[in-house]
Amino acid sequence: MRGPKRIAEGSVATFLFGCVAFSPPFLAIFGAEVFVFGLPLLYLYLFAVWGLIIVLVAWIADLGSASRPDQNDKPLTGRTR
Amino acid sequence: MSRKVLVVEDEANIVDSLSFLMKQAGFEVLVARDGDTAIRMMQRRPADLVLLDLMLPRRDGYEVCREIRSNPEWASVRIIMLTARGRDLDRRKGMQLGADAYITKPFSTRDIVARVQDMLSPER
Amino acid sequence: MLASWSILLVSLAYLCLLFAIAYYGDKRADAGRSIIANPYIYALSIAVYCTSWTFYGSVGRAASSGMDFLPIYIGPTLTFVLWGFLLRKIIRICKAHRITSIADFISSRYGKSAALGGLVTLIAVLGITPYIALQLKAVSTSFNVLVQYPDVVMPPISSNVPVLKDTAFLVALLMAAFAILFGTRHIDASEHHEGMVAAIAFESIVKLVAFLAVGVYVTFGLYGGFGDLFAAAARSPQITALFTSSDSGYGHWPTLILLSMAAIICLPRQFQVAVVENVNEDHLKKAVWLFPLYLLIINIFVLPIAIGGMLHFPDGTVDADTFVLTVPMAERREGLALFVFIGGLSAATGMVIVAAIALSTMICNDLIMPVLLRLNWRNLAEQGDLSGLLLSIRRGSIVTVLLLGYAYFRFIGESVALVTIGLVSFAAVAQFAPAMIGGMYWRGATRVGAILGLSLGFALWLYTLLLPLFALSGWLPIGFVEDGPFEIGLLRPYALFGLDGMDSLSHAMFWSLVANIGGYVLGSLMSRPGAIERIQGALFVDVSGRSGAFGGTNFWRGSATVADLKTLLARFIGARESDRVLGDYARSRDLNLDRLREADAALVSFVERLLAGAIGAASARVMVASVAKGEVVGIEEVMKILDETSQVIEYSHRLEQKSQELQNTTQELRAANERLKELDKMKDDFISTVSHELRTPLTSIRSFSEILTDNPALDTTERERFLTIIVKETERLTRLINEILDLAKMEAGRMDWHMIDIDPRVVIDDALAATSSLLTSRSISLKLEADPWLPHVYADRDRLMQVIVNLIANSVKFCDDANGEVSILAGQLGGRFYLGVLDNGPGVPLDDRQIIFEKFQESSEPLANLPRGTGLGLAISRQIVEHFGGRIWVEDAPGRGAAFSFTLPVSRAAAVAAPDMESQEAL
Repeated sequence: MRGPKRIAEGSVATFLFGCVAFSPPFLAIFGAEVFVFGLPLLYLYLFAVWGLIIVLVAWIADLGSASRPDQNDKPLTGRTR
Repeated sequence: MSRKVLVVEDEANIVDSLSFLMKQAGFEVLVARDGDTAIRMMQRRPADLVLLDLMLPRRDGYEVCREIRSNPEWASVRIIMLTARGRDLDRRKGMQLGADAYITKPFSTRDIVARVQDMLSPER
Repeated sequence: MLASWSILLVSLAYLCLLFAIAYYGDKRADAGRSIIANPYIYALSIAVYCTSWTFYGSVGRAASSGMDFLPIYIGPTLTFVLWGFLLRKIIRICKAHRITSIADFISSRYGKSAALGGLVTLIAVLGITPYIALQLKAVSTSFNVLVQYPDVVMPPISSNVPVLKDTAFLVALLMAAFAILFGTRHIDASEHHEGMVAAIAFESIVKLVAFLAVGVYVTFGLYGGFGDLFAAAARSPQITALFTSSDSGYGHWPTLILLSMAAIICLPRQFQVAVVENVNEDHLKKAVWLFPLYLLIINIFVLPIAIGGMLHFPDGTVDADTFVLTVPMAERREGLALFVFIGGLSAATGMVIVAAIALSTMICNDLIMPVLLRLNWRNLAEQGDLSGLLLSIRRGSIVTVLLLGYAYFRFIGESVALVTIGLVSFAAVAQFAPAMIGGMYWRGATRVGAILGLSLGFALWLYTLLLPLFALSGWLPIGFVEDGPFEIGLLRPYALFGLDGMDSLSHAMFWSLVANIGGYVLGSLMSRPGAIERIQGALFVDVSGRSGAFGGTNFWRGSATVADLKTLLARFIGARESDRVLGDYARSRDLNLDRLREADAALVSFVERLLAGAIGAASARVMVASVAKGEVVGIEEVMKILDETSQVIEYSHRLEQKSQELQNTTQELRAANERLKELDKMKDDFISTVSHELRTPLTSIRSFSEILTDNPALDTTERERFLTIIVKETERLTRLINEILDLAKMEAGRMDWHMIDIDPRVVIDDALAATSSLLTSRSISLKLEADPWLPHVYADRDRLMQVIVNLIANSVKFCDDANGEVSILAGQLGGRFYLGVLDNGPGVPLDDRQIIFEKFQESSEPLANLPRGTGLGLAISRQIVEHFGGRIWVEDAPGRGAAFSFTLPVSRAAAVAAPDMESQEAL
């Protein structure tokens, strides 16, 4: 039962992170007239946070399927000689 | 002619004491150590009264009692049952079989002598 | 030069390609080889979220308010983050109940309420109409702009053009035709449209590639990449303001994010593709990040294109909503412009087709059918094949929806930006969220609450968002917005109850959601749910597992004939389809439906669910009720099943265990009782026997004591003799009491044993010494034959001696009177210590050899003049020997008499020492 629980916890954490990262105060902070690599900071910030959330969702969704027992863990039964 | 008392008892010491008591009271005493002997002795020399222990080797007291009562010749024979078992059930069984009295061990010597004398008194 | 006919030709060719894909998809689905059964197609089909609004409108929005276009895509991303709680649960519920639309979902949750389904449908139709208008506007505008190629000229206002010459009207009819072709070719019990999904997925690719093509062209063709583009933009303070802190701030971002979060599941078309068309729950795991990724990619170039357009058309004569198209046109990129147009057409078509199909299903199942059934359901139920009627209703609904959209576009849409129109729709469907999500997690939510919440929310949406738009378009006096109705300031639709200073959307969302949630919660708390409501509530809240834990639960107590159900089903989904699904059902359950006359509750429920797929839950219920005798199971019973299903299972499991235990206990008790009775009887016998044994010596003691008292003149010898008897009997009595106590202790296990390693020889010698007086009192000879070396034993010395003394005393008592002989043999037997005591008495009859070791059981052979034993000696000896792990028995002695023998285990120390002793002896 570890898998589903971790998915739930991870999902909620990611969601809350998104809520905070896209909240007006943070947007105001990153709305400064600053350019990074020639890109506006706000533009960069929004897409970076968004991309991070997508990566997190992908990773969390994968937890469910990755929690299956590893095939390599089977004990070796063959004789060595 | 003195009356005869048959003591049927397997405990030697009790036989001793009963014999002493009956002789002292003026009765002729016969002794049997088991049920079979008791019946045989009755056939040979019928007694007037039988002091009958219930726990006997071979034939027990109830059988002896039944045997005596089943023979009309011995209709007048008195039977006093002596037993170390004090249960009502045993007493009732004994009375049903035709015993005249039922005395529980350990008995009072005066009481038993009085009972025997009473039963064998000529007035009755 | 792009002639209108060539654009039309390309457009038609493209639409035909879509149809071909859909047709192929349906064919493959019929053949059982689905082409959409993978997470990528699923994710792409969800991307139907991106419409003309995204394709054209986002750039327009970006050109006017910078990054404000973005929250509409962040919201769905956040909803998908919570997929495990929302989307997956919705999908499971829908699969378990064969739910076909959001109206069906809400109606089904609140007791299959037809009123609620109708209300949701009504809100959806009114809410989506502007959204469809948006698509029509985008397609017609883009067409009219493209036709002017190579000039960039904004098209005339539609309302000045006759309807039949209006491009938008033609687009509406064309799209209606396609929606009918895609979605209503036949009635399917499962309500899946695999072909449509395939076509939508294809469209999603086309619009993405087209939009990226423009983006790449603007960024890398017109400018030297992002840096160059933004550097150019930075030179214009007006443009720079777009992506830095704006005056408006970000206060409306939460509103937009919240709206779009709700929209991604509440929009009828999103519900259709993400939930109803989902073929495998596992696809969700990939789609939850693929779809947001799609949104991210399509949005990367929105700002660059907006900047490019603004730099290109600095005078503001060109509508920013057309930048995607007009920038390539101005640069004379004919092919790219045409491709963009196709991309935009793709985005619009996809939305319109799915929305129209979803809405038509809702209108048919949740609005028209319940009304028809209510008006004359018996008559309707008795009619023949109804699948044709259903299809007609759906086709009519599609046309109606598109015409409504066109009407909205023609009367209002011209004056409003694309995104504003879209947001009005979002705000309408967001009203579904409380009833929907609340219904999935709150059992206590009721139909009354849902209706109240939805009605209030919808009314406020109408008042604060839609009516002002009518006013702004001139269809209502503008004073309605500025001064409030009847000049009541407090009722101004953009500043209701004096709530001023918010943007109109946030304002509307605030009031409508407050009213909606408030009405929903209060209404639910104030009302009692009906039977089916409580059942459905429990089913929705507790849905779990892939197949749905309650998938097989049914609530029909009565039954219907199989024939009736068959006919009913055939009417709605066609005879062939109904034969097929019923056949599958029968095979899976090993039933022969031809022979079965009465359908059981499970089959009735199965048919109801099938029908629900075709005509909605509320109507299906009515139809099934018309042929099924009996009623729904009583509320108490059902709630017992549902509220406590898990507890009941658990409880009955425990009960079963308990009753098993109880049975065992009863059995044990009975056995114990038997044993107790037996013990009681034994105790009774024992007491009776003990009493007898005690009374016997007491009798002698009392008699002789009385004789001595009454006869003081007895001679001395006599006197001596009687006193001796009294003493002996007293000793016997004491011995008896001791032995009874010993035995009782041993039997109760309370005896103190002092177990040590013992040389038995010593014990035998002690025993002989103790019994010597017995031997001398009678002329009995005693022989001891012992091995020179005896194995040691592990025992209690005193008790072992007691055994030997008992056996010797026993033998002495029974040996030949005149010529008594007792011999003791000691040695080893089978690796154990052996001791035998032999006499030359009468022996023990075979029958008595067992019971002689019981309490108070002496051999029945009379031994006239011998002192009686206590009758406990052998019983005690047996107890002791057995406690030492040995065995005691009696057999015939060689020649004549009895042989009492016992063996004891050899002590371990002795076993080790033995070889040494043997070798010493050998020396």
